[in-house]
Amino acid sequence: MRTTYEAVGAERTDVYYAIAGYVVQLSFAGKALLRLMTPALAHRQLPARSAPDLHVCLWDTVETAVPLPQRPWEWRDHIARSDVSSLTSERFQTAYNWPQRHLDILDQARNLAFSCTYNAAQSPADYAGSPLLNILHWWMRSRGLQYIHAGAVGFPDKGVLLAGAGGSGKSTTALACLQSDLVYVGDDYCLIGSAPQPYAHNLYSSAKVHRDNLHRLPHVRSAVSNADSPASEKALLCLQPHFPHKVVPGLPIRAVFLPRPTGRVETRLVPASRMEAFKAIMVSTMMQLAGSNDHDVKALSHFIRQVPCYHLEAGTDLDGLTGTIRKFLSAV
Amino acid sequence: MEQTRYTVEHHKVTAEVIDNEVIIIHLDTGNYYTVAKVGAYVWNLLRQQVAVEDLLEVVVTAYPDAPPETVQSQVKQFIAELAAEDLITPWASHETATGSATLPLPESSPYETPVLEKYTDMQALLLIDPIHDVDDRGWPHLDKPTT
Repeated sequence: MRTTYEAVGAERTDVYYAIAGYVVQLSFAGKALLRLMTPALAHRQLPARSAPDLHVCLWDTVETAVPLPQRPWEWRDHIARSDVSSLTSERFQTAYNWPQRHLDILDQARNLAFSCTYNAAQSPADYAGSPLLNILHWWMRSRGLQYIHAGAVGFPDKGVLLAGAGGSGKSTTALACLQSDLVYVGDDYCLIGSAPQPYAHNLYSSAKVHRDNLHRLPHVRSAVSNADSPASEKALLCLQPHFPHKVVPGLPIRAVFLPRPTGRVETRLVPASRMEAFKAIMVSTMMQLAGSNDHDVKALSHFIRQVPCYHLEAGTDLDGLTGTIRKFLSAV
Repeated sequence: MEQTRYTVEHHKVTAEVIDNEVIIIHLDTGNYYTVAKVGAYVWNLLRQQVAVEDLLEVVVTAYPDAPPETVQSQVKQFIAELAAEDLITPWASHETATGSATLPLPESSPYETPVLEKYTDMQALLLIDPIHDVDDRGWPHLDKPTT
């Protein structure tokens, strides 16, 4: 990669992050991808380190004028979820998201990954809001940490996981908590571990919410970073500059909450089965994460068995919603 | 007399028990299934490679209040469904069976028809995604807008 940076005259920028206790080095060629991806991770930035645990090299083909080489797999090896089966093994994981023209490759043996996108300027909010999704999923999984589609909030010493499909209210619930004394781990993705106790690690300081829901969350309006994007695209929020003490590295988890909007004013907690919670997280996670396999399933089931689960029947009164979460955590 | 046994091929089928309910995921098709109660009991016996003939006897004994013919017929149908969904495969006779003759009895509950609940909402994401409109390096055309 050093040869490539110099040969194409692309400025190289190295940035270091602490993610779930690991040091991750990102080496960017050029500026476009750097500007796109670093805001969501800025709160985890470290001074330069000599020996990262994971090194990711990133570039976009338009700014660097470095195209991808000849495609090394047949399209029959590629599935809609982006997995490339012929380049996936214990050592290597590969995914190509063709609508976004984004390629990720991880070499587990060398702790080295490559991430190439066609044109950073055309990347959607999803990409900027949850960078390195595939690479972190694969690499952290081999270290006993499971990347899942779920958020988490809580008091500084204990929290709840917020799980459910898109549109269930995870983001609204998590963002509503920013106005209370509750802290924030994530709205859409986090890393979970089960040893020594159920725990959720923060990944990003970003959040995404439907624009037509912003009127309910006036306290986050100033955090919108893509105000000029199409109305169909979710609002991407950059939380760290506006809520610097709210985004925490992680929380022990005391329960899984499954939000669902009811249209009523008040919020209620109703017991849910662990199987409901497992299915809610498992389906949406496996649908989004390339390379999901039985390791993901077993890690999630192990986690779920350790905590009670509840339906969070979310009312329209957001103070009542956050109050319900606070009341539960005060009692456990 | 050779007995019929099945096995679960773990490279393509994974299953977890959560609060006495079993969720089975076919990693190749993306389909997932849940079984509970009698179905969960039968699944646990099958994955231990208990011979079907012995399994039927065990289940009939475990539910003495249900007509034996009904139990056997319904359990056989359930096993056939599991096989049709590629969740179990016939066990090769040269392999050593691991099924134990001493098996736990199910929790005390009345007999119910074993049911395999199937969910297909993940299926579309695991289908092969052929892309025909590619450039000379084999990548999607760069002049096409992304979605």
